[in-house]
Amino acid sequence: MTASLRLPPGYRLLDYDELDSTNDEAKRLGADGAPAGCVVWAKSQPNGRGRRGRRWDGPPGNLYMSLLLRPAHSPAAAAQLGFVAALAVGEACAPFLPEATKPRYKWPNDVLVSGRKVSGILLESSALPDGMLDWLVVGIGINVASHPAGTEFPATSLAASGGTATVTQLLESTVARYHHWMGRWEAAGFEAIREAWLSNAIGVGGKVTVRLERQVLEGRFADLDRDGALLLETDEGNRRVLAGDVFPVAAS
Amino acid sequence: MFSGTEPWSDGVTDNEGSLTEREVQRIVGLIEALERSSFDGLEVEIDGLKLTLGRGGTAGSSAASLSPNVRLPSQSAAPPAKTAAPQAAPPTAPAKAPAAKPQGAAQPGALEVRAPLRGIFYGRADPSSPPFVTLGAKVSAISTIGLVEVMKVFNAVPAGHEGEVVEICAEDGQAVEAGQVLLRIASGKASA
Repeated sequence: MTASLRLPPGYRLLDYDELDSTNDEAKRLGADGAPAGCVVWAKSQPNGRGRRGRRWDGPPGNLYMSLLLRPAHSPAAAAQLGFVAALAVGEACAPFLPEATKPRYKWPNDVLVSGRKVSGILLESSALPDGMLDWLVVGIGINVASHPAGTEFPATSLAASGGTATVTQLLESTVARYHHWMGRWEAAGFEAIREAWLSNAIGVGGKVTVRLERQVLEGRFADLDRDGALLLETDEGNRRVLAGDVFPVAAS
Repeated sequence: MFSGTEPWSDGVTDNEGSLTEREVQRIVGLIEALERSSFDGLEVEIDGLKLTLGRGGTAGSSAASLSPNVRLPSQSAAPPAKTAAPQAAPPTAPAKAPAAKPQGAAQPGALEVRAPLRGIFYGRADPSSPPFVTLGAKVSAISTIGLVEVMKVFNAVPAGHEGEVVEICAEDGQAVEAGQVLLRIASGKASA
């Protein structure tokens, strides 16, 4: 029963048996003036999607949720909230996983367990004419019971990683951890988020391939800067990466 | 050109000789005033800063030139998080958008839709979807004309004006600067 779900104050659950996309529903709510704190949850998402329309399979047994927020910030600052989402997912999953399989973060907001993707995070926003955000939707999918095969980056699920958790446990703890880290971000800025992310990140200091929309770069992942951009050292010079897919290069 | 990445230099910010936010806004205001006017060029001197502005295709190759002792803030020196407001276009955007396309010359009075932040512009929701807008499309102020992605956050860009799309200035997948013109809208053309 959804009525027994525990969410932090200010959050309200809207649950559905099935949605094409929890993000689309949350965006619709955002545009219609729904209050911040709506948590859209679907038990299955037959036509789910990820970044740039990539398919994100949504069979029952996994978590599909979207948070509707209205931060009083610019869209540029909202980019940092993707890192907040990654921390929330990582910390929500951690207690349900075996000791040795601590969740790790891959830039900017992938959460990996044993080097495989256990979660997908997609943020969408719309700004007001004054340049501030109207709404921000934080879409989070967690592979709890099952995961897709044959994905570009290998996937896993909590079940396949030796974890035991129910979807509702993960929903509760993801929202709770998001609320915690969002509060830290509001109070202390991105630095607190950056430190927590870096302490469990993969690829930092090592060689990575960065696939941009029209170009592929290779270099050393030198650091995460104070805005969340990936600082890449390449043979042609240093680059500050704002968008793209990162693939760690295995040491040979 | 910005390609989704930009140079960096260990976070060192060198502001010496560069323009303040306020100066930048004044310059952007002048550029916009020129675009709205019927003049080809404009030369002003404010507080020792000499500025010559001209429409693309008329005054040499560049739409704006600054006296040599003043330089624009370099890309690495501009803190990106601060470039949020759509009106506060960084000087690099207008200054570096030279005569490639006649700036507003073909459409006097056309309204500009600018990128709200630096990132990757998408004219489609995803590669298999139709474009948000096409030339000649009628839009309302709240119509989404595209997305700008930064770090997997997709920001919808509203048209901000009601009218007809008369020019599309950014391609799907192109890296854009904050304040860069994405498209132009002619208002009141609905009856034309």
